[in-house]
Amino acid sequence: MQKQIQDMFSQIIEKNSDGSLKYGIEAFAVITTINDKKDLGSNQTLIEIKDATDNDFKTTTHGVSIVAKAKNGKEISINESFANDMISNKNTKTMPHEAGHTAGLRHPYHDFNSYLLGLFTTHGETANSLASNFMRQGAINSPTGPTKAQMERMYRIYKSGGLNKRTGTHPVDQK
Amino acid sequence: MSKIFIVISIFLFSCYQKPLVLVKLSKLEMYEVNERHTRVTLLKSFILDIECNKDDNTLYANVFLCQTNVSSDTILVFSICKQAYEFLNSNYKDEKELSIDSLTIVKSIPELLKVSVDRSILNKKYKFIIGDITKLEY
Repeated sequence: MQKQIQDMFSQIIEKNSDGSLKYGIEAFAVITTINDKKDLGSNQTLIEIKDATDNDFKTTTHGVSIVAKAKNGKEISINESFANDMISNKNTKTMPHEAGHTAGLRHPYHDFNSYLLGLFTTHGETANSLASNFMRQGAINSPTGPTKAQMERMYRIYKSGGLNKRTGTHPVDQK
Repeated sequence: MSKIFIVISIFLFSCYQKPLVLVKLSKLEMYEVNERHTRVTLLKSFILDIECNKDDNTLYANVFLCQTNVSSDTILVFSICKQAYEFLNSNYKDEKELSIDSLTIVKSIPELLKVSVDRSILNKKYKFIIGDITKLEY
């Protein structure tokens, strides 16, 4: 899972006209185990594998199974019945996808900002991400990592202090 | 006269449905799944959405022609006496990733099912599953 996150987020986003690097990301993920949730550091995110019957995976939408969920900016729940696929690298998208949510990334297909109590909506800054983008929900054979717009969104929310929090506005819902 | 013809044509077209076909499941082979979740791509839906009546013994089924994502097997998924979920309709536009949860697979196989499938598809003798296709969200 550590490699999945690092590989997905490490990207060459933009090159200069001479082929040299203009804008790239080098990502490092550190995954460790803790004995008690209270031991979670202020700069860490808890990844918890939970039974498929857990409330985190309940949904009112018929026919839908929840694979994993970024509950807030600090907690990710993984449905135990899908965990093997993730650990065995059959599914390399979900873990980086959830990490993206904790950093404020939205599903491009559902990336809207609404105004005046929802009367008006505009596309969000990441709405036009590639069809292969890792934040999309559909089946993607070779998912690609964050775009420049997604990196800038994560950085902006990080700088404003909106990440790594259990309470308050979910990072995904930050402007 | 021509107006009447157009109206009748539209009416007939809107009411048109493929004829129902009886499928004898003993003539098809069951598909074995080894994983808890088998991810699939939906190739074609044959939706009947007819609820089964307890008074007659006819079992109606929606049929979904799918390809498994890992092994690329083409299979038929029968969903008996159930309404098809919206995302299994061919006009569903939202992103979707589909999977068959092995816990929903029915092991007791009925003898006959009434479906609305092209005979050419049945003639290909695809292996089948009776179960539910779910949409994965994360």
